[in-house]
Amino acid sequence: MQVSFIVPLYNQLALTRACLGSLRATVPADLAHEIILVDDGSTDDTREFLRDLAPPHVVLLNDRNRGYAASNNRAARVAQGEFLALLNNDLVLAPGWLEPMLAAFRRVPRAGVVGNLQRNATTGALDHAGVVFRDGGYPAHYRDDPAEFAVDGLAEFPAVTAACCLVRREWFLRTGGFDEGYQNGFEDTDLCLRAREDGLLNLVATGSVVRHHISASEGRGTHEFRNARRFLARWGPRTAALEREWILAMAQDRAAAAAREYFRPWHRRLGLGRPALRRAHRLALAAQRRRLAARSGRLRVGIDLLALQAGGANGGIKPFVLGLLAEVGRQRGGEFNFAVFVPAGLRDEVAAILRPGDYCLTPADGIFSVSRRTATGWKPDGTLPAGDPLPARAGLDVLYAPFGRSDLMRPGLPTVSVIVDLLHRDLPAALPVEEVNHRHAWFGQLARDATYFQCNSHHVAARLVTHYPVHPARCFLAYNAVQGRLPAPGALPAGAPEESFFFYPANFWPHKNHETLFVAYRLYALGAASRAWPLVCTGHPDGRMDLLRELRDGLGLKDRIVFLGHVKDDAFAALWSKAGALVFPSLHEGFGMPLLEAMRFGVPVIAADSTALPEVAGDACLAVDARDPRALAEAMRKVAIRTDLKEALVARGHARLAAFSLELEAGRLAHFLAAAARRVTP
Amino acid sequence: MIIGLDVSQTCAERAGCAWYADGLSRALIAAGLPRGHAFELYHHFGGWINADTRGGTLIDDPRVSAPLRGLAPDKAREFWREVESGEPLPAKPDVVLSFNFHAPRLPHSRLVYTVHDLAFWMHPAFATDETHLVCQREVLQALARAAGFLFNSQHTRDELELLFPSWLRLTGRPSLVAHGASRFPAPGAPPTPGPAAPWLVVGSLEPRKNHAAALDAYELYHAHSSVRRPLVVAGGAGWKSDAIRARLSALQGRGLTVHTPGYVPDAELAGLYASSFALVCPSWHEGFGLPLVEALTAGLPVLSSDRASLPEVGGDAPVYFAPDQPAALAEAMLALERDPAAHARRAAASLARGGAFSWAATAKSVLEFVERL
Repeated sequence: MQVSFIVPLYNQLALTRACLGSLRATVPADLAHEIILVDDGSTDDTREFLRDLAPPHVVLLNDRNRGYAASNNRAARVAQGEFLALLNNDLVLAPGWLEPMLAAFRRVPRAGVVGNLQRNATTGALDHAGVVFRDGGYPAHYRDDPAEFAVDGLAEFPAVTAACCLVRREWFLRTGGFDEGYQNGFEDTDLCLRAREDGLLNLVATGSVVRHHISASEGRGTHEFRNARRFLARWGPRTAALEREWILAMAQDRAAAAAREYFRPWHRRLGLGRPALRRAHRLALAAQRRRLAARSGRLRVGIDLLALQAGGANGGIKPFVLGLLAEVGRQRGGEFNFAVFVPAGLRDEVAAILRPGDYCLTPADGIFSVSRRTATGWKPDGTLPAGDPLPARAGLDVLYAPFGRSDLMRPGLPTVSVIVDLLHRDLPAALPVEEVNHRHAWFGQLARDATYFQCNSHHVAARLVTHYPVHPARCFLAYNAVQGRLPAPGALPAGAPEESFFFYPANFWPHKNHETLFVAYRLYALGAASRAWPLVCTGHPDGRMDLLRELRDGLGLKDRIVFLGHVKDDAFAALWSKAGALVFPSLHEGFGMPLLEAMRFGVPVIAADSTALPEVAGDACLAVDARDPRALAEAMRKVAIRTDLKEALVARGHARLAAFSLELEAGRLAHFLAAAARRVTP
Repeated sequence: MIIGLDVSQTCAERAGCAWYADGLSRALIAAGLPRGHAFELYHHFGGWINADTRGGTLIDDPRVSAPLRGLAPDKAREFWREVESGEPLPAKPDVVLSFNFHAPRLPHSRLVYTVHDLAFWMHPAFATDETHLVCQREVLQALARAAGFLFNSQHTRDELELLFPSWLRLTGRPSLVAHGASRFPAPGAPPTPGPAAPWLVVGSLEPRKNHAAALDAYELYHAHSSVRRPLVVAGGAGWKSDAIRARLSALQGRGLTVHTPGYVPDAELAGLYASSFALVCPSWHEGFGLPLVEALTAGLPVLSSDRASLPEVGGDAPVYFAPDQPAALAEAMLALERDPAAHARRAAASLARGGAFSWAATAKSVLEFVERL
């Protein structure tokens, strides 16, 4: 199936009939398609009309009025097409409207939401040629012919209206569809801005022209204020910046006079300036296009991996960041070159992310000095003197800091900083007080100096915004979707049990809560007697692992709890393929990569019900209060003996994986790196 | 023998565990010196390092030394690091009693570990993250390291049995229930309450203490009572106390007589026990219940929650209620107030029950326990 047309309906039967008639008349003959009609609780004769429809029509009936976003999302979930064509029921479609939109996706692989030109059905005036921002970041239709800055029939806009648009179904579902928090308004602009975040382009196919009955849809104006507040809270700073960019571009583009005219308050009061504004926007869009076209040069991305450690001491951040960067290189290698900074001796660890034109520097190369890890945390040790020309010398356009802070940060060098958790604020007891203070100090600096924050989860972004003066518009999300990183299972590591076992892969940090797990495990093992599964713990061997061994022995569980230390990837995969269940009682996680690995290997998941874990696990997890050993023991008992539960968890886990795509996360990172480097609004 | 005593918690603002350490240490020394024992007092202990040790328990006797008193925090940390890595404690004590949840590695001495409660595992919602992280590590360390265990109540020992079934039996590790006692002397007869004698609630403001139920009940009581006694809520602001503090000031704003003296020093607290109408103890969970035993000893009638260790400590003396039933508590308050004879009976029962708890008796059994190790 190529295209699923989706038309949400709410009354206006006459318009619906006309729309469907024009759709049937204009669908290309050879197009495999379906027409999904979602009735959103119409009170006129619409339902009767729908009763008589046969395939390719698919009819969905909402039990009550659920709104525009929910109706489209419902249809998208049952749709079969590669593309979704989202249509309002007040459209009048003209022959040849679809082909230019489909062609856009063939010509531009990074096309996100593709719209078209829309004319007023009554007057014939152009009503939509794209969406721009004005009046402080508020979306508005661009109503002039964009022909002069369109290239080959495609014009890039920050957003387009969804009254008539095309998107890839897979991306639409992965991004969560329309935000149902809006009520009949702003859903489309929100969706388009998310597409931009994912590194996609929103395009208007100027060869596609349709007519529509303006504001024939009901319920649009009613929720304007609430919708606008939601929209501006999420995107306001960014859309206002987009608006400013155009104004700036305008000034450079001999349109300064017109802009000044418009922004003179008395002109506004007199209602003057609309034509001037339109002209200004037109020129600005053209200027932005030229600027983008002029930036054919590659961007040099400095990547500060100086905190990288051999083996597994870094925890989950290492495989995630290396996997993500390799994917960025694969997707956008033509646009970026990496300059990777690593500790001496670890060049091999990053070899996989290097492509032609990239280079790798270690402190031994002599052009910079580095911090070193002390017992209590990161202490600068002969950091670069202020104003060191390093970034200039290395020709960096943007700095990427996977460990959050970076000694390579410089005024004027845009920086994208990775935030994996806010452990030091949300569970400070798990860290030495010196480390808490140290992290707090550098988070404060980052809040001031970093350009954008890559957050491990919505949970992390929310906590960052809570604890530090960081606006949500500076945060973007990159899930740790590296479940596909592991090689085929090799041999089991020495000491691993042959039978099913509970698996807890986690470094032996206090917040990982091994103690409560041991108490729970003993309760479980006493109850299950000879049928009890053993417990396998992997993780970077350190002093706390020795302590946990002592605690295990004190509980008389020497034969039942196995410590394997850090295991190589193929042995790790072998453990996953043998594990009976993942038990993940961590008290604090910014993400929780083992959950995805368990889902990928068909292993059922028991996890704590707090921090980012519910967001990652969704319904594919038996969630417990991980501080309560009796609850944890009960969960282990159930998963070990109840086949139905185990199968349900595995099936849900398999479905859940669809929400995590490294390709998408990397696209988002690439987008923000480029935006930071080029100093344009993401 | 030489007995080491952990008095680290007595250096800071004292709560239940600290009073336990102070009371038992003093009584052990009093009973032990005549039997030829010598004592070491540790004002920093394991991971518990004090900024200032001057407020800590101190006994003036040549056979009682305090080697860590006055030691600066960084030096104290260094000291315990060395002990953990195998250095014997000075004076090489035969036995060391821990009262602060910490179980340092002591290869040259036998560690006797006091379990005050396991609420952080039994009712995790009532424990701070810090308590959870520290206590879970240290309790497991104790199971791996201690030669014997003291429990402040049979209930606490039962909690250990619930979480670690058969562990004590399988390992043969000896244990003893060592009840706490009041730090205040008992009066000869129960005091007679004045006409405006208040209801008393004692305990730091934190969710586990269930002040909310006491306030709910007090509001109901206030609406129905003709006497309208004031309410005194004594105790410092603990963890997650914002809601309850807001509630207290709201009640005060509405003109209810609710006194909130905060953390109350010793002498003043003794006065409160002597002059109040009754103690209200609505806790969801207690390991022992020091305010309860202090009220009993003072001959004060008690209305107590029926949870955890409280019935074990209170015996027949208190009027019990379920902590999720503030209306039942309010009923009990009104009933006690309307019936002076019942009040007098309860007061007498309290005094009698209080007599069952004395530091001297606990110290005697602990000393025998330690000597047998």
